Amino acid sequence: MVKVKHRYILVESAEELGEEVLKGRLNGELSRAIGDIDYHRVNPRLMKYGGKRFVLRCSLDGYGKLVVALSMVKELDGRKVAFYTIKSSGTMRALLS
Amino acid sequence: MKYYDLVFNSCRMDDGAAKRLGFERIFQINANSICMSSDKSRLIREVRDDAKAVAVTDFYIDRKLIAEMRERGTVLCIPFAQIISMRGEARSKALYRAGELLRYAAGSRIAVSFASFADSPLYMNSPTQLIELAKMLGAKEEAARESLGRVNMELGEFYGKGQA
Repeated sequence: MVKVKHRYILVESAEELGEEVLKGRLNGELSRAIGDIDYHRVNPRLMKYGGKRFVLRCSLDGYGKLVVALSMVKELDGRKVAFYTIKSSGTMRALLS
Repeated sequence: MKYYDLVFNSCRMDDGAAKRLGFERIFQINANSICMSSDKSRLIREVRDDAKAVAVTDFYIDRKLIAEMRERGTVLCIPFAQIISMRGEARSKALYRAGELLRYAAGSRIAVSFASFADSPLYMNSPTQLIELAKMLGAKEEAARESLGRVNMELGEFYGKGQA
């Protein structure tokens, strides 16, 4: 079986949003930015949450689209937000070290 | 490689924002220092008055303007804050036109600056995001990195004051 390659992205938000808000709303906004066709190819998923910083996982091929989509999400749950892509890596360990 | 960003004076950043995002410095410039307009005759006048950089805010190609910029070595600025602040079809059109303008400018050998030009921290981006946005418009990765490095540094030192 072919191993699917992922990319882990460390993201910082302009203010703390809460894990429930991110889990519930972020994927909807990303889907709007990326589009229905490519959203599941990108397959973003919240892996770790730590206040203003959190880690998203996506497919390796969808990395560029996800980074651009994160810049385009400016509103979440009625609040003005901004997401900054700080770092990315092929493994969570390397990302957080 | 060191990266630089350009934002307006009205963009209030907290201390250490540049380092946290991954920039060597973020230059704050006066909103009136770089001519940002959709009026092509005004832009041509600015270029002829030896402006170092201009931005075409509607992203429509004007061959005469591009020719003047090529002759005088004027930098073309692509303000990403303006694009990402739009929504829906307007943003989609802006992305398409910006890509066409970039392709034409690159073919004319004009230096391009990819920067936030944000007036609020909400419209700033990290270097990774600016590079990916530039690639989405059709720029090559090396060209995008050079723009964020050398080109932005030159513009920042010419126009603004920096925050490290």
